[in-house]
Amino acid sequence: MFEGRRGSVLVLLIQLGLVAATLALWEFASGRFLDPMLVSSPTAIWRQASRWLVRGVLQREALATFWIACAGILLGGGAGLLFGIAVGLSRRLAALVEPFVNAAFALPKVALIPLFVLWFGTGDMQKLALTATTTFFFFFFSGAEGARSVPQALRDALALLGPDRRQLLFILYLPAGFSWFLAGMRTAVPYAFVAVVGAEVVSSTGGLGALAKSNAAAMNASGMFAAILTLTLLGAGTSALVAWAAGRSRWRAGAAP
Amino acid sequence: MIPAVAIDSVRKSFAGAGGDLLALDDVSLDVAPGEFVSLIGPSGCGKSTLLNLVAGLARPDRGRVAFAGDAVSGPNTRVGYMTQDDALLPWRNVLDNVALALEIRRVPRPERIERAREMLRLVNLSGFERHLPSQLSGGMRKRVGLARTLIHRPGMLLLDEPFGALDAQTRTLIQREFKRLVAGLGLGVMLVTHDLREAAALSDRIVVFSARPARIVDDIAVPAGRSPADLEAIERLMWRHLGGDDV
Repeated sequence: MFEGRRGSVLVLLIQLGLVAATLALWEFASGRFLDPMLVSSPTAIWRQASRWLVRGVLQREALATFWIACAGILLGGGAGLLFGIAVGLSRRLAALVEPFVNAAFALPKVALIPLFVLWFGTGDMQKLALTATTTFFFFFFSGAEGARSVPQALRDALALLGPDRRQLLFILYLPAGFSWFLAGMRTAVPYAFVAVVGAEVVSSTGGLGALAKSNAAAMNASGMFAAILTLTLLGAGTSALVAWAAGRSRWRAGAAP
Repeated sequence: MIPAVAIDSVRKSFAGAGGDLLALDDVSLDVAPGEFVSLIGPSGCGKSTLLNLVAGLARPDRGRVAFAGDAVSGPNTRVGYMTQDDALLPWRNVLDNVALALEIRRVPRPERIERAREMLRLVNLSGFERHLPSQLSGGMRKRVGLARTLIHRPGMLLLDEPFGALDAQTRTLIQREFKRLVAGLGLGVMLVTHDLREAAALSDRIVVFSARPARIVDDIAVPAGRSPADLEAIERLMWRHLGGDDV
């Protein structure tokens, strides 16, 4: 029933129907059974969102959240990937750092927010630090697995051509472990947003997290929901963008995990 | 004359589950420049280990390995090395795989593309430049591997059962093609093989190893004429060395 082109159109229609039904139920219940101060209503949220869109508030805050997430992934992910590959290639290094990495991974990163606020203040730096720390681990583990997945025959064949470290990385390890890194990227993107928004909520300075928090504090449920829905769209959009870019990569023929 | 390869009293063992495994014990062997030497012996006797020592992918516990007079102390970039595994990069097309060695040596792109095309012509694979390795047959992949190995003009080829995974017909074809290429380039070869006919047909010299730990049992010179009678006598000799019944 859900197969083929007609099936996927049907699925889409049902999904749209579900969304419409939920919105209608929400609109109907708000003010009748539920306190609009707490749940707002779809029309009120839309009025709030369109006011903010006209004034550029949502765009500005979304951009603030988005760029920290990207910079955090770039910084933490890059470091994690390189360190992970190094650990994946050296059994000795792996044995040495494993307990520390596991312990640090087990620590809930939001517990570091007070520390980072102490070190960096409440601005972008502490958000960036938290996001980089969070994403580091996803890339570290996928980097190590990716490097280990490279067949010995390929390593030997390349070693005899006399590459330097940079060439080894770009010619062999990055493309060969590409599908592993992609898997790391897919988990890292949502968690990067968790980290940024967590830091924004706590420090209350800029971004969609702070917007949601300040509106909740002002008992403006419409504003809070508008911020949360924008955040949902931003996160989903970023993940979709990553998936799309990955599908177009020329390295995707590498060894699959 | 300095030998292309000088292996002197080499010993090599590996850590195994039940203690150390002695792969090579006091092996000495010289290979002259341009010489085609086959190494044969029972499975797992340490012939591949010997090849890896010459390639610099492993180091001897004792003894010395020299290539063209220089001690081998790391990956030996002056040899071409091929195993049963194609070791082609699956995400690169044929042309970029063949050009790999030149890319690493920072040869400018137009020149390396030109030379890679030329190599592909040499192994009869023109027209397949844009194919991925996964789109080729086993025999074609082997030829791509050969082109990639030959493109940086190695001083010698080290081959570890390179044609082992091919079907009999393809193997015969590739062997013939390979022999022609190597003879044309005057390249020295060390070939590890289980195929006695392959060893007799291709080599100037055949070194026979014992079971592990590998020692050299015999060193057979193949007469230049390669008359069918000579080859048959050599095959029979190898067969006896390897413990087979006389036929």
